[in-house]
Amino acid sequence: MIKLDKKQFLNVSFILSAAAFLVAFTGLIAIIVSNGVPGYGMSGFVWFVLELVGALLCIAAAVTLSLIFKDKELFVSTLNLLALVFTMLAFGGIIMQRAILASAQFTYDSGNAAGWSALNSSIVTIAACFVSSVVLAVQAFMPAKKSSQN
Amino acid sequence: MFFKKSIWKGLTFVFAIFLSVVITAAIVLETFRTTVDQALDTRSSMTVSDGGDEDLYSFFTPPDELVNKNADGKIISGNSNALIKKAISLGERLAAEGCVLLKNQKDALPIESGSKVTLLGARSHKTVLGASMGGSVSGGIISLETALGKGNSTEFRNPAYQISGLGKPGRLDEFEVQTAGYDINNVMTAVYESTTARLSFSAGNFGSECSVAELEGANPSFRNSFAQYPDAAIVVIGRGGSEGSDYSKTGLALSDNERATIQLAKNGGFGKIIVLINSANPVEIEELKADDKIDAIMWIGLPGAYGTLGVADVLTGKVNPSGGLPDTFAVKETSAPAAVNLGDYQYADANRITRNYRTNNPKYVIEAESIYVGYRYYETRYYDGVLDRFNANSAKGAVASTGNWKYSQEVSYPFGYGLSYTRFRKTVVGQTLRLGKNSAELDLEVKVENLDDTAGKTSVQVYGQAPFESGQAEKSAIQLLAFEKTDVIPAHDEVTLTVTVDLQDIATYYSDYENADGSKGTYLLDDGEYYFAVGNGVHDALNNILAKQGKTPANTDNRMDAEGDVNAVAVIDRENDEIPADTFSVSKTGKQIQNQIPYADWNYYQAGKVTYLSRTDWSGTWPKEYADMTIPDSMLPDLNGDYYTVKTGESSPVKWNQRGTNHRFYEMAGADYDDERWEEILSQMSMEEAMYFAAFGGTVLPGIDSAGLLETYLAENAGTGIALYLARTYDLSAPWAIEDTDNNAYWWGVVFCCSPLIAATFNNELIQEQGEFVGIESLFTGISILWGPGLNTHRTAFCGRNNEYYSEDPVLAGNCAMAFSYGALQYGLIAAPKHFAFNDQEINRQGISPFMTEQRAREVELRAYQIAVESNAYDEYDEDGVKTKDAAMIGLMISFSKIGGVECTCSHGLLTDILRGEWGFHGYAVTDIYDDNDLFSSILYAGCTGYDMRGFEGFGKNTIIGTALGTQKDGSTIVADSFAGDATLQQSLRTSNHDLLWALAQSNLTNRYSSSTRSVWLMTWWRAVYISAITVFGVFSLGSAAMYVLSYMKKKEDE
Repeated sequence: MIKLDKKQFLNVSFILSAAAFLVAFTGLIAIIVSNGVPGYGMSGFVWFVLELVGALLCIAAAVTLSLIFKDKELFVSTLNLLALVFTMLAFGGIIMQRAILASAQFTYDSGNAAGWSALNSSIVTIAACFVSSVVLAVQAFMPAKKSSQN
Repeated sequence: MFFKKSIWKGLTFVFAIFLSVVITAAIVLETFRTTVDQALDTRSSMTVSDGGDEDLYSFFTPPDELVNKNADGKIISGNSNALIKKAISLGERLAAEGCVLLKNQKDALPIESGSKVTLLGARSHKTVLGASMGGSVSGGIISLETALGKGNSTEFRNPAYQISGLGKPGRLDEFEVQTAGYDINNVMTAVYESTTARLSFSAGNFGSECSVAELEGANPSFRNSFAQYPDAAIVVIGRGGSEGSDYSKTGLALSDNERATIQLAKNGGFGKIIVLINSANPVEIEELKADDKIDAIMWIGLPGAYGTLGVADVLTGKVNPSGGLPDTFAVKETSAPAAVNLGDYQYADANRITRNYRTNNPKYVIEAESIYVGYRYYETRYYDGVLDRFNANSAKGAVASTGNWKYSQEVSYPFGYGLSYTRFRKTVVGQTLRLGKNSAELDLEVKVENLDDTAGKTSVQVYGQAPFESGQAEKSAIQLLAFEKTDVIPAHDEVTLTVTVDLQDIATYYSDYENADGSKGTYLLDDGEYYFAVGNGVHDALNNILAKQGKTPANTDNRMDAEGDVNAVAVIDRENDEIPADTFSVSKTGKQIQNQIPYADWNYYQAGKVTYLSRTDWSGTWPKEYADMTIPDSMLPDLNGDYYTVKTGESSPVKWNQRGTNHRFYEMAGADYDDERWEEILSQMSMEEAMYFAAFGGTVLPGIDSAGLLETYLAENAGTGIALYLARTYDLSAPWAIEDTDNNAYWWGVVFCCSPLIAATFNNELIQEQGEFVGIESLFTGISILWGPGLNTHRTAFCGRNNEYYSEDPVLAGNCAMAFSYGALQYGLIAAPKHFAFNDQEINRQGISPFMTEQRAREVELRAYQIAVESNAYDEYDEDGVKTKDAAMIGLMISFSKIGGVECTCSHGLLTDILRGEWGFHGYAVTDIYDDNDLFSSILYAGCTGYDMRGFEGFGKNTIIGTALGTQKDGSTIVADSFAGDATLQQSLRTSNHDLLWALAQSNLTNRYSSSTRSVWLMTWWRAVYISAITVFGVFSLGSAAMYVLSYMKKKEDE
């Protein structure tokens, strides 16, 4: 039987993973909002959702594995790296898809409130992807903790 | 190991982030590389061909005097110095012929060279040479002070005389010029130097005059300088202009500071006071006209980088003024009926509109003035007032008049008006009517006598009046029909000109006429007498017509304000001259004319809701302001963009992916539109290629592999020239390309005056010369398409962008655009006038619905485009009268606005039935930037041939079509085979591609094509940076990951 110590949840590595998860989740919500603005749907939307959901699953799996199993560090690290790849894929893809919108909003269409709404929520996702990745990177510097296993 | 494994793991993540960011940046940079090139001043590709092909750079070449040749006569380089010299000369001549002398009491002008002159007004120092956006100018300029002073050279390298600098090296040749030679008050020059630092030569800030307190702050005793420069005070009143904003309804009145500056001049003891109106828009100057202390007034528009030399030429008398006003100068510009409905109007129930593409979708303006735009209102009401009918003399609509409406109190200077330093008498001495199938032209012989001692040019403006009685469609009492400009006529000499009038322009559009085929609407010539008159502007011509009709001031209780000249009038009678009433019911292309844009009229959706101004009751139909209108149910689908539904499952006769003939674009240089090889080339294309070619038409057109067409940067903005500097050329392989090391490498082509000043020349030959010069600029800059000139109508004086459009009159504007476009195409430049059509105000222009009658649309806005598209004046015929050359304008940019409830880009009636069907247009008809990209199928169906998705290039990435265009109105995403089941849209695609390729085959793009032409990538600094960064971070990422794995395994072993 696996028993989890409360201290395991309070270590820095876990907190960083949780933070990366929450930030990425915020990005997921924001891109759904952005895509929902009438007239501003994105052709790559499904991919972005899949990438962000994939990132969330990877982070969750990595945390779970690191809590439950010892000696799975390489696997956990791979999952975290995969999460980073997923978030950065979404990061780049959304930038590509919103570049035209951004150029319009900052020039000839600056009065377009719907456009700003779509752009701003996209920027939240882009920022969230980046921050989540940075947090994962910081977390990667943390020494691996062995789980308590009886 | 060097580090702990957690360090390697962390570094792996960090470098992976860097790698991701750099790869993203690289993709963005490459996707938008033309935009990046422009922004960063780099060049990431070029077109090259193998040598030995005789056709390369042979179709269009600069004139010999602008290139350097070797002993074999082969062009080896361009001559930038000669090019700029030519630009200075042309800029000077355009302004000199465009300046309009409005007042010149006691022959105050000209002022002889050597006079001691004081310049007053902020704009005497920072003269508005161009608008701040759209019609702007760049580079070294010649200031008014320089042009009027004693120097004999430009001062381009002086930073004080530059707009946006001279480019990176800061080089530019200086040029010898002939200035006025006045002794300029340098005290005031210094005063304005310190008080106008906030101002620019290229201005959008509308009001800008310094207060007297500011002047005193700079030099408390500045008035003492007046006595040293007493011969004349030249006061400059300035207004700028800009894309994206309009004047307020008080913005064209003189400001308190301007009045104070005038007062300074009046109190200054000057021998003469001259006022220069430095504005593209009419300024309300009745008080200056009426002021006896103001000796002369001259309108100089926005004269461009070198046009001040032309102003100086006129002031000194080197050039005799010959310009005529392109717009009415009203006492109060709010007196125009169009001004009643002008500005920001939103539907009261805007929330019913579900399409949310543009914020201005719920905006509208009701153009209730009907056809009575500009002088069509003032002169028609005057005419009816003279005849004392139709309530013309009521108080309704009187703004500047005391009591009832009086022309003399409402209009300061009429359209077409302009004085000279001599007097001309213009007499109609002959008339010949030529009738053909669906055509009727009148040749008027006009004798022009120079009555005084000064040589000069003058314009012969021919105006017409169609018969009118109550119950008929609206008619202007007078309208411009044609014009010609004389050469310089020596003193006391005379010339006789023949001016040809196309009677199509005086036919009346009846939108309720029932055609034989059951359709409604066509052009008719009503029974009665048609009058054709010349005169000094429209008002003079109208008085001449009144005189011909037996009217005098005496027999009209002085309602007629001047005697007319019956000898300046010709008359034809439709029935007696056997001109069929329905002559113009069929267009020159043979198409039956009928209503095509009924949705332009609000009453189409909601009968009787809007009352349009009618001359049969000036007071009863005077426009009311239509605010807070409620959307009729029938209009809602149009506002929501429900125009076209893509079909599925249809089989199409349009063939794709055919192989066999393998014709290539380079073979088609100059080919006819009907050349059968086009169909072969077009059917070689894949549908994906066709989609991409139709979808992306910004500054860059995508390549078509199957047709041998390369991705090419080929379009640029601006009508004052081409907005590129010489070394920025997109045709580096051209033998005349200017190298970066050339001293004039950073000379910009945007140097010419504003469009109204060009129109004021009334000189098609000169305007054609301007078009030719811009065409030459296009050869030097590697551009094949110019998004300009502007061709919208000056619906009111308040439009902030009137500086880009020619006139309130469509015949004048249409002729200007025709001459420019024809000239430009001589050097392979496709002029694409904008914005087709109805961009009548800048407020809300992106998506606004202007409502008007179809008669108004056709007889005013569209008439200008029709004249330019048909370009009949440049058609050529053989001795037997058979047409041997069908000249045509082959470019257009479609308006952001709607026409009525329907987007202009999606109006099949406008783009296909009228533009192509009635006028015979073929060519490049592109949307404005990113316009309506949620309605791609509707746009294609309507007849646009190009889609401005500026910044995109590349080919074969079909997913990017959907990315750039975004979600469509119907929720779909555009991909390569979106129209695979729609036969109509496949035909639209084919037509779009055909028109666009054909247009390009007429352009100077053909210069650089041969069988070996290909595009090569060039290394740029940003490419080097991202390639290096990807390499470094890639290696670091992999290296760190490897080290992490190794350290992990080693630790495992240790454990």
